[in-house]
Amino acid sequence: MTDTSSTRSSAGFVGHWSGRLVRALEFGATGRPAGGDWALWHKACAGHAPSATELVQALTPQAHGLAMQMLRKNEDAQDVVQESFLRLWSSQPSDAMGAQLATYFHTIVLNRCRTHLIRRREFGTEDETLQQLVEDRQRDDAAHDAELPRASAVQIQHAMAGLRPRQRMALGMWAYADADVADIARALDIEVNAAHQLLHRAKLALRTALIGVSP
Amino acid sequence: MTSKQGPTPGTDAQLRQALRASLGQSPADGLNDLQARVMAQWTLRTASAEPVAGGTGGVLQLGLYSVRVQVVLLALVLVAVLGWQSLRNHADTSPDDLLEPDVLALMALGEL
Repeated sequence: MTDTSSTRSSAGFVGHWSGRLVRALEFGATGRPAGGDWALWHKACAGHAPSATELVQALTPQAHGLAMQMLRKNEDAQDVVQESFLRLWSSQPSDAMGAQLATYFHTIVLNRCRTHLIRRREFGTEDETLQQLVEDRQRDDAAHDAELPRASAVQIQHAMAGLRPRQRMALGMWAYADADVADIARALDIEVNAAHQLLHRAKLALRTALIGVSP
Repeated sequence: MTSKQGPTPGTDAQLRQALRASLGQSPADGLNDLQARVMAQWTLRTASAEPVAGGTGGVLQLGLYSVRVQVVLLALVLVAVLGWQSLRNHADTSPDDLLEPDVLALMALGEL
């Protein structure tokens, strides 16, 4: 199910990436302090079933929602959540380097999503053709500076799902794991300038989509 | 790269906040089966983690997590203590043994 060859490097990258998250990030679902979540994790890893249950119930909805945004297929999203929990149980707290457990878990989920997209051959740069660049340039740049319209969670997720896979990944890393352009470039194995362009186009495409769906 | 690609903190912050808020509202409905599978994986991992623990830390973990291992260790300690006591008792010759007549010596002297 999981490729073990990239486990070590992924763990290191996750640690580097999430280690930047010293400032508190609120993801709102659990409402617990970060230390509480890590305490639960410690208990779960020591074999305490109620702690494991509480953690699974708290982390699963957002992890599944994130995987659905990235992969758009429920079966793949569920596989990713399962794989991510396996990684979480076998990870070390030092890998997170001060990040909240939920944020750290999101980085694991995003890494697994990236692997699935590569397997599905949806992560290449082949689709980023000249035509796409022309479309992007022709797109109304006013969307970049426009006030973001009020949109429901469903609308946002739908708009997110409409982006290209690499755009979704870049945006997901930026929004849910606080990754910067350099982190995105490392994760996607592209130049920093290319990552900058990719993230910019992803934001622009999402804003445009949201403006399109808003009343 | 266009001139509009520079960071715009206000709108970027709005976008990030909106995305996080949408993720926070992810429905938990229909995920019971998934959670059950994750818990099943956790149970398997917890059960299989004990025998494969290695090294000093692993032994310590086994001692902490497995009652069976604790019982076996206690039994081994008891056997070791009893064995040591047995050897100690055997080594110490009691005064009664010293007072017993040496039969072979008596035979040699022709008294038996």
